[in-house]
Formats: sequence, structure tokens, C-alpha cells
Amino acid sequence: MKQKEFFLAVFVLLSARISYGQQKCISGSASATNLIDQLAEAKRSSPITRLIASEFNLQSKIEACTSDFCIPKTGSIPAYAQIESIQQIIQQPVASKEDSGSALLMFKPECMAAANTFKAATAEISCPAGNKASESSCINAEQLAYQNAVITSFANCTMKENMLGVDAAALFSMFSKESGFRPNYSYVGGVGIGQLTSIFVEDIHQKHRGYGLMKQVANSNTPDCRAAQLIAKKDLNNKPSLSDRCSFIGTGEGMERNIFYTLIGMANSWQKDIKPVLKDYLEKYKNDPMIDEVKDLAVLNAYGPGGRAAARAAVSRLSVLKPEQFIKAMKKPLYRREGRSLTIYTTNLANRQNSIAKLLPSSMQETGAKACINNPF
Amino acid sequence: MYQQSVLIFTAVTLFTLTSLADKKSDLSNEYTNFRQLQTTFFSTPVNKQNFAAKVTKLLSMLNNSYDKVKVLETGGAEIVLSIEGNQMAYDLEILEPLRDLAKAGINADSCKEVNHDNQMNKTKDADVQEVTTLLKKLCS
Repeated sequence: MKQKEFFLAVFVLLSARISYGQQKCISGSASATNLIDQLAEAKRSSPITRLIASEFNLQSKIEACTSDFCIPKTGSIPAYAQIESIQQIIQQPVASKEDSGSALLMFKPECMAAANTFKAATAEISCPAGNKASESSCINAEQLAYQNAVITSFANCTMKENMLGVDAAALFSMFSKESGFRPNYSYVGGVGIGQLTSIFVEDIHQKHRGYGLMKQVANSNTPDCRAAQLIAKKDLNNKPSLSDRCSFIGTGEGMERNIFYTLIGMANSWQKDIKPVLKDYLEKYKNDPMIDEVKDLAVLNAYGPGGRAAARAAVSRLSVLKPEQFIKAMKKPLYRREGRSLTIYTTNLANRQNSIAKLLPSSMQETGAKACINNPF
Repeated sequence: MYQQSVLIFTAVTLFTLTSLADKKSDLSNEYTNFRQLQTTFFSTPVNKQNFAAKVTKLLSMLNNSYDKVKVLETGGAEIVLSIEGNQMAYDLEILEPLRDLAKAGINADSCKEVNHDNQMNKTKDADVQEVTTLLKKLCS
């Protein structure tokens, strides 16, 4: 069984790499260049994209990747060593912050690629038109690197502002499950990379809920918040509607807004919903090495389809257990009546992480999503 | 000696099984009582004047009932979280907008906030209809 899983993992990783070399796509169809075109345009015209690309030193790497090294002529298959080098190019900012002068990307590219191979039974939207895409958009390494940079930038901002409720591994689990880093997934139950819902977006703009966090980012003096600030300031003046799906999907502002709202929404959920219920527990077990994972799972559960009431009830119920038991219980169904679970989302996340881990080298499998983090904050 | 051991084992097993059955029955009865309190509340006329007092009383009774379940769950050698207890914790969360409205008093701002919070509780599995209907009546 282990052998079978190993060969499957090798096959998928090689397929992803070879398809990247041949078609530049980790997932999706090579002829569906919608997202690639959007990113190219965003690099020219979007102040948010330009700022983030500059912050993470992606501009030159993206340009390098569109030069003769990264794009083989049609029909040619680059040597494995060349593909390996592409991976190294993507990982360069990770190698040394001091040397490159750029910020570190949060997720390991091989993990994003593995997560990107999972498909959802949902439609893809093509922006800026906003119509249903006829084929699955090509996602290449450059796309994933840019998404990685946006998530890192905004997570750094919310972390520096002391508002983020979860760590990098939790964010990786969540985005892997929600969209697998396919930013144009959209259906009635969720839009874009974070699969946002109308009530979730509305919650961020409510005075008694997330509005204060948006304002905090808009007024922040933290250099890490410069890109996020562009969205926060704009949206405080003119609240976007999720019914205009491209404003939460299109690269240059929409996909970035989606990530920003996801993070602000999680921070909001932590501060307003989970922390009040978990406060005494956090104090009681503040020295326990597993307490951060308790916190992460509690916040993640609130992000899922079970809703706020279920997430709060789960935390309240599991607070009688020690952190180690709490964590185990969060990864299994905690049933209420009629077979419904209070922990449906964290159970699903754990299952998805197990599936992703099978596609990764065995050295990365034991620690789950934590193995996918370059820059744990 | 062997017969004695068998007798003791049988007695202990029977006692344990009977205790478990009793506990399950107690949990089930307590949940029935908990649910009945809610049904009675939502089927009795409530107005802006008596709302806060009625909700406070309801929540006090529901929390007492939930506390009894928590005692049953933690009374044994190990903590066993029951489906009934999980459901009660969930139901109490669903009622939270009513508690907040009773605390804040009925006005335009508090109504807007609790209506939003109630919508945050709404999922395909969550029945918030009773709370929604009552909030609509009180906030109109």
C-alpha cells in the first residue's frame, strides 16, 4: 500500500512538473490562458500587484519566467534538470531574505502544486466578463507564486497588526480545501480562492463586527500593510458586492480582495466569536505546547460551512478536554442530533491534508500542513 | 474460585450496562425537557414589554438543564461528550441573538446587529426560523 502511494506521489509530482514544462500548467488547460493574461495585465496596471511583486521580488522572476529559460518552444520537453531549476527560481526568495532583499514566501511551492491538483465540482468564472469559463484555466508556477506572495503579504500585515487568529499552516489547510489555489472557482455557495459567501463579506463591513479591523488596516502605519491598505481604503469608501464576482476573483484587485477578506474575516471570527468562548481555556493551558493548534482549529472550524453557532458550540464543548484530546476531537465528527456534526470543517480539512500529504515526499508527510510552511510566523 | 470470579464479573458487567442505560435515558430525558422549554417559549405570545424577562428566564432554565447534562457527562471515570449535550450547546448558540437583544434593549441599532448575528448562524443545517420570526416581530 505504501509502495502504491509512493508511486502515485511520484507520478503526480512528475506530471505536475512535466505539464508545467510542456504547457506551463500545473492544473487546467494550456489553451485557457485567462488567468495568465490577467496577471500579465495586472503587473502593468494594478498598483496592488506591482507593490506585492516588488515586495517579494517577483517582478524580475516573473519576467525571467516569461523569457527563453522558462517557456520551452512548443513541442519541446525540457530536461528534468531544467524543470528542477524552475522550482529553484520560484523558491529563491525563500532561500535568504537578507541576500535577496525580498520578503519570504509563506508556502512551499511543491505543496501549493500538490493542493492545486485537487478538483472541485464547481464552475470557473472568467474575468473581467464574469461569465462561466468553458474550460479550466491554466494555473502555472507563476500564478501560484503570486498567490503565495499575496497571502504572505496580507498575513504579514494582519499579523503585525496583532489581528490574525491563525498560523500559516492553518491558512494553507484552509486555502487548499476551499479552492486548491484555483482563484476563479465560483458557485452559489462560495466565490474565489477563499470561497467567500455574501454573509461573510457583509460581516466584515458591520460596525459591531469586522469594520474596525478594516479601518485598522486602512489606517495602519505598518509597511507590511501597504498593499492591503489599498483594498481596505477603497472598500471602506465603496463596499463591494459579492454579486459582482469578478471584484472577488479577477487578478489585480479581485483575487487579492478575496484573500484580504478571508484573512480579515478569520481575524474577525477569532476576536468576536471564538476568543470569548476560549478565553479561560487559553489562560488555563497557556504553557501547553499544543495550545496554538487548539486555537487554529477553533478558528478554522468557524470558517467552514457549519457556521458560527456550530463553531462556538464545538469550542465550548471541547473545552473540558486537555489540548491534546481537544485537537484529536476537532479532527473527528462531533455529532449533534440527526447525524449533524459541530466539527464538519475541521474533519474535512484533516482529510484533505492527508490526501495532499500523500503527494509529497515522505519526509513532509508526518507534520501535515506544517511541512508546507517556509515562513512560520 | 472460578465460579466466584464469573459471578463477580457478571454482576459488574450487569451493573455497568444498567448504569450506562440509565445515563443514556437521563440524557435523553433531559434533552426532551430542554427542547420542551424552547417549544413552549416560542409558542407563547411575547411582546416588546415582556420579551427581556421571558428570554432571561428561558435561558436560565435551559442553562440549568444543560448543566445537568454536563454533570452526567463528566461524572464517570472519563468525560463522554453526548450528542444531547452537543445539541444543547448548539441550541443555546442559536438563541444567542435573543439573549443579546434582551441585554441591549430593543432599538434600531441592536435590532440591526442581532438580525445580522442571526444570519451568521444560518446554514443549510441550522434552523433559525423561530428566532428569525421572533426578531422580525420584536424589531418591526
